[in-house]
Amino acid sequence: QSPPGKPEIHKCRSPDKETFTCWWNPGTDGGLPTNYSLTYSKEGEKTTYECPDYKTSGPNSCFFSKQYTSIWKIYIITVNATNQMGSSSSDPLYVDVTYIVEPEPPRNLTLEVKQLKDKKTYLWVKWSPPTITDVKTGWFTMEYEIRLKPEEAEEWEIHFTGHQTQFKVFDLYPGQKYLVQTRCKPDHGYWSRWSQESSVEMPNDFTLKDTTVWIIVAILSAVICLIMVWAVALKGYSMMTCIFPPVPGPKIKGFDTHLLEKGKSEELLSALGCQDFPPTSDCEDLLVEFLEVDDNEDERLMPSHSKEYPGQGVKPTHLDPDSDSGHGSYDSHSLLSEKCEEPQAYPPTLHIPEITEKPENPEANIPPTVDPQSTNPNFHVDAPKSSTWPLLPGQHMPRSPYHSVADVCKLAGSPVNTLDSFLDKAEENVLKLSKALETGEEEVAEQKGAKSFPSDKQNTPWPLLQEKSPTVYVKPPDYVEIHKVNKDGVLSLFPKQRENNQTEKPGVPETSKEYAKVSGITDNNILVLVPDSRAQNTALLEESAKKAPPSFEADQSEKDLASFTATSSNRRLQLGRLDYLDPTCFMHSFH
Amino acid sequence: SKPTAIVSTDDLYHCLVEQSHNTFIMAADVYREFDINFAKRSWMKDRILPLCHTASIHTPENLEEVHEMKTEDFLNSIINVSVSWKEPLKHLVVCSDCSSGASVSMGKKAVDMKDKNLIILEGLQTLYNRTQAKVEENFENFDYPAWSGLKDLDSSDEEHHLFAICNLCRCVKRDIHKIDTYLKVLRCRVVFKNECGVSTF
Repeated sequence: QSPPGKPEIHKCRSPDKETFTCWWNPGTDGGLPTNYSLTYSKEGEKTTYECPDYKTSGPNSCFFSKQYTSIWKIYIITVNATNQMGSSSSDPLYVDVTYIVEPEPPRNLTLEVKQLKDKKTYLWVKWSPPTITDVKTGWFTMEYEIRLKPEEAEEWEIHFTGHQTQFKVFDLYPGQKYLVQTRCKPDHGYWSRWSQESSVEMPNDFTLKDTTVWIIVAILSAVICLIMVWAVALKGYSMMTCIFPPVPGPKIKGFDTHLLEKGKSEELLSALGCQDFPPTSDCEDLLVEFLEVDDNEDERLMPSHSKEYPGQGVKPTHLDPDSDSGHGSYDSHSLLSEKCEEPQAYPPTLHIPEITEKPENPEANIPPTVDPQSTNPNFHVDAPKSSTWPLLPGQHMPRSPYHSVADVCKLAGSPVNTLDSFLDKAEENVLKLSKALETGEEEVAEQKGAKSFPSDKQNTPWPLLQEKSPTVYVKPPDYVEIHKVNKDGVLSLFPKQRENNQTEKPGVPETSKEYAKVSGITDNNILVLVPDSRAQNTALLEESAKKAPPSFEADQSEKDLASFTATSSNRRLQLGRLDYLDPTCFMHSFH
Repeated sequence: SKPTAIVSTDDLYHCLVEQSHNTFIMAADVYREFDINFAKRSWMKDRILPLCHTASIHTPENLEEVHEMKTEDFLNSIINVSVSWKEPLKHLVVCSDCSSGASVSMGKKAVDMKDKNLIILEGLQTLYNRTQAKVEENFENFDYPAWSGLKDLDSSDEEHHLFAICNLCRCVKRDIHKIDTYLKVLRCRVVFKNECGVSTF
């Protein structure tokens, strides 16, 4: 046990220049309960006072309220320790309240990240003065400091800000979290404690990062460009080919130049698609066919020459009618045979020529109206015609038949030279007629085959030919008299046996006037005359001009036309020429 | 004087506050240096601190009185304090030079304090005249106490002499602090319309 140790006054502080507190550190207690007391006196005064409040500020402290606080005066403060063994006092402390001011820390600390126009980011720190200090009236004049650091750092960075209550901090690291604190101090006083920490994280979209991004983009772009240039350089040819493809030259589809070079013209033509054209061999065949056609024509012409050699010498243009006349004679024979066998057949035969005549001659319209009458007087008409013909044969009876033919030519008006040649050749014709008959049979057969007649008709001509041959051989020298002349231009001669017909001689000159040319002589010694177109017209007019006999004559002529037109129509259908054969001659021969 | 007549009231307040602030810092340095050298002697403890010679001048004791006092009364009170230190500061300079305990820096600062006090006094007089119809030039109407400490400063006894210097340094520091504090209050009242601390400057 001992007296207490010497206490020590730690510090005295005033937050607002109106109150203040002092704290002390006790010394050793000496092993006994110790009481501590604080006593003070003011300058200029001898009175000593004791602490007014030991509780408000906690243990080992003394609080002086406004009542006990005076500024601009010095307080002399002493702490005493007392126990049963004794007491001890601290050293005195001279305190002027105006110099011991320690305010509270600033409040409302706020942090804000902002950006300037140039996109530079900064931290804006602002705060408010402590509440209990009267800064507005100037009773307190504060100065401030702020400190900040990255969250993980150890050292603080302190910035003195003067009297202003805000501050801007630049050049902070992006993406970092910063801690910030602030404190204040009145003029000629003590610094306050640091305020509570505020924290803020800086964004990553700083200019630095933007610059980094742009740098990266630029580098990548450069690399890509280099790669493209390199690729283009390596594949320049192929790209040029793609951009400017080669212009293809002209080319024929299916055409192979190799074939042309090799000289294979056939394959070349086939490649060119010329298959539609016939090959060379085909062309040759076509030429051969053409030649065959020409040969056929020549063959047709030769038989006619053989038949009518003298005719060619006199009138080469009449070769065809000569051959036609031969064929027509056979047809007439067949018609006569049919009439003899079947008398009822006349009407149908008569009807047929009417139909055929209409398209050929417009004048034929008259005969159809008179057809029923014409059937009956056919026989009567034949008699008067025979009477007219005797005149011509009467004049020529003392001469040979050859001379009579010459006279007929004169009447026709043919030149004398031609007549002489014709007479000379007449004898040859007689010999040739026999040969011609043989060849004629063959020709007839060929002609029928060529003309494609029906089989029935083909069979009928053969018996006619057989019958015809003996009459031809026997009768030619018998002809001495002209029987009659038809309007169709057919001059028929009769043998001497029929002298009764001479009474009809006056009719001959009329008929002689109508005919001007002789087309030829058939196998039956029939002289075929070719009429002139003008002569025919005049004859028809003269006949129509007559009065009483004209009616009969007209009827006769019409009947003749009807009957002979039938045969002529048949011939024309077959041969296309005017020919006439006297059916009575054939009838007499049959009998 | 012509230069002060051209300066505006706002600028004059700013200038005076700056001067008073810096003067206080010098006074505080002088007092701290003396206290370190002499205040810890044993004989200092037994002596009772006397009142300053300006203790009779009434100044606001708390915030309420500050708010209640008028501007011209404020200025009058401050002028009385400043005028009362014209004579003592002269003697403090002399004592600092001849004193064996005073350092050279203390002497220089004593001179600076004397000069600045005169500047502040002139500014305060200008401000006071702008609030009054009549111009005061000789401080005849001001009630400032006379200083009676000269005998103690000239005493041959060393302890008595040093104690006198100590009291003088303590008192000049306090009074300059008063001048600085009250000038700042007046500036907030006149220039910033009692909105100090909100604006940044």
